[in-house]
Amino acid sequence: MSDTIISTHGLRKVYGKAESTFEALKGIDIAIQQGESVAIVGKSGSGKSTLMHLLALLDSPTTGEIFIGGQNASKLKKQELNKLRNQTFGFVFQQFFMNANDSVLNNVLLPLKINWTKRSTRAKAALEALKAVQLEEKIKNKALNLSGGQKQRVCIARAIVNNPSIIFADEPTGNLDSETSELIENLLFGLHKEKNITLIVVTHDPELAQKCDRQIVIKDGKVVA
Amino acid sequence: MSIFGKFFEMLYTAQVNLLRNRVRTVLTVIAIFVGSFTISLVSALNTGVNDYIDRQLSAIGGNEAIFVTPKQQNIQSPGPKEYVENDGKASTTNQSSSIGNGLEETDRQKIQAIKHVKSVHTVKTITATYIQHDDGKKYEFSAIGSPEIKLDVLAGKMVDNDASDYEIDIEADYLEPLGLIKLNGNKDLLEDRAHEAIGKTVKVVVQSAITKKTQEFDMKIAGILNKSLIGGGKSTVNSKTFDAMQNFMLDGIPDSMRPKASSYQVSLDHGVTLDQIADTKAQIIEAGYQASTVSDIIGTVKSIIDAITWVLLAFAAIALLAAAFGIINTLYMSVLERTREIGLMKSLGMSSKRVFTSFSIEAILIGFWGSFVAIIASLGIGSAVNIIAKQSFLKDLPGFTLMKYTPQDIVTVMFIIMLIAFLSGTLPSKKASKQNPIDALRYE
Ligand SMILES: Nc1ncnc2c1ncn2[C@@H]1O[C@H](COP(=O)(O)OP(=O)(O)OP(=O)(O)O)[C@@H](O)[C@H]1O
Ligand SMILES: [Mg+2]
Repeated sequence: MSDTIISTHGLRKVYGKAESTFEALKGIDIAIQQGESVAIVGKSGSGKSTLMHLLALLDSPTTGEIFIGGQNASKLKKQELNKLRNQTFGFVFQQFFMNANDSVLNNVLLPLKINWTKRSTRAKAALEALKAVQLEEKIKNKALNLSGGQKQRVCIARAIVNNPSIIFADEPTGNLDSETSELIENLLFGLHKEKNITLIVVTHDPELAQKCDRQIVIKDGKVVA
Repeated sequence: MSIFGKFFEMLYTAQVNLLRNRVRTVLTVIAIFVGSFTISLVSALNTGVNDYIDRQLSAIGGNEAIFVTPKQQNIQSPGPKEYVENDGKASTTNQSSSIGNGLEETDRQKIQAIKHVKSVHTVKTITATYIQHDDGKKYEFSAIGSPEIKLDVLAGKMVDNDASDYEIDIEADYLEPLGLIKLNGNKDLLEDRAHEAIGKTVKVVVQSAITKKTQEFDMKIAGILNKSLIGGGKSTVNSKTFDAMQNFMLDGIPDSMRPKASSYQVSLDHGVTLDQIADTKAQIIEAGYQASTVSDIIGTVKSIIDAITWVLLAFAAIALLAAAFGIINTLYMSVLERTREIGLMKSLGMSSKRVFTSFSIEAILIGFWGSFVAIIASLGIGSAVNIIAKQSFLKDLPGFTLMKYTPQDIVTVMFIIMLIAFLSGTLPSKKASKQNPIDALRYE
């Protein structure tokens, strides 16, 4: 008894122009159910990040369709699209993009600033998210001065600060030691179980992949399992 | 969040962003400053000059007026001359009081008949024996009676033609000689102290043309008149005073022999063209009078001022054009520098519209600071120039403020500059807002 929250149909993504084109995705058909946890695995360069960006509506496919809750994403109004990005999705980038010169706190509360949440509420929510990733003592630091693993955790805090219903995490534990990895995994799966959040994770870690309800294996831009 | 909350948040963020690259921002603001400063000075000069000219114009009845005098009568007053008591000999005509000679009722009809003439107002002059305040020195004096036109008062108000008291608007030049105010040799104090003379009484003495008897008229000072470029600016008394003095002076002279007026102010039909004005003037001269139009008196001055204004404005426009490119450049670099940041914001759900708005606000802020500082500087320079001008080349033209700043002018200049800044900002702002989040995030 579950509803399909995201599904794709014949998804293709071609990078580049003219002679130097590269087909990163070659026709992806997948369906992800509400409340599911899915691991996307595959070799480096197989197209996992590309797929994640398309699913989270951060990029548009060359051909093919994406359906969010049954609605064709290409038909969404700009306002609806921005609302999805801001309130429904939480995205952890593989390269943990941040405003390097801004404080940790300001980086985490960015989604709340974008949706005009009251200042006091913003700070409170951001602090809570930072506590969840055990970084509350770094709130005043410049993002620039954090270690790789700390940056990754700031990005996770930013992804959960808005109470999203779908979390996309591109290698969320790639830079972490086993102890911190476990903290993050527990955090993500905790949210998944308690709040019935849909979890889509890209990982090279077989252990993390095994924790998910199912795995989607990508090879050279195609789903192979 | 309320709309104000949102606005201030965006304003604050824009200001913070501008300060992130201080040097670049300051250089752009300086470019804007140069243009705004020039424009502000030019506009103040233009307002100052035009304001003065307009007051001069209204003092002689605006653009559609011709000032008519009998041939060879000097309408410009040279300032007060001390009165010399004649030494017991029989008085001669020029030492006795007189009423301006020249224009009779027939003259009025003749002028009235000329094409485009709407009405002919009489400017009545009376020449008294002397004027005196308390027991001070006596001075030669003449005055205009019952004005029908607006006077350029420096202090106080215009005389009231309906008043039953003797009232006078006195020329500013008479104040110190008569001992009404003290300037201690510093003419600059005139404007500040003129009001002290209001309400004081002066004594004007006139002499009867036939009996040679004299009579004193005590009149209250209602206002002080600015010295003027043209005909106006002469001491003026209200109807009651004028009639009383005239009746005394002309007592015994038959009506037919009384001169009626010393000059006419001729109003022309509303909307006459410059050619028609010139034509009417020519006909009046042909009929045997002296005639001068507003453009005779002010026209050349005004056209020179206008030419200077335009040249300066052209300079300002060039400076502003350069500044506009400065803004485009600043924001363009800023957009490139912040491409990743923009990508992140958009991937977190910021709308293109808001990205565009925030860059536009930055542009407008640059315009705001540039023009704000420019106007402050301009106000400073302007008041310094005014002080210098008053002490030197505008010494003889009281009431002429060379650089005049009105709130409307200031707001207009700032608005125009901010509009230019906004328009320059649209190009880079558009570029920033159009990016797709992932492409922007990948930008190196
Ligand atoms: N903007 C781009 N322009 C051209 N090629 C690209 C672009 N982005 C990705 N690619 C190519 O598409 C392919 C898939 O890239 P993607 O980042 O999706 O791989 P991935 O599976 O996430 O790899 P990794 O595990 O190393 O993160 C790669 O070959 C990559 O070089
Ligand atoms: Mg990847």
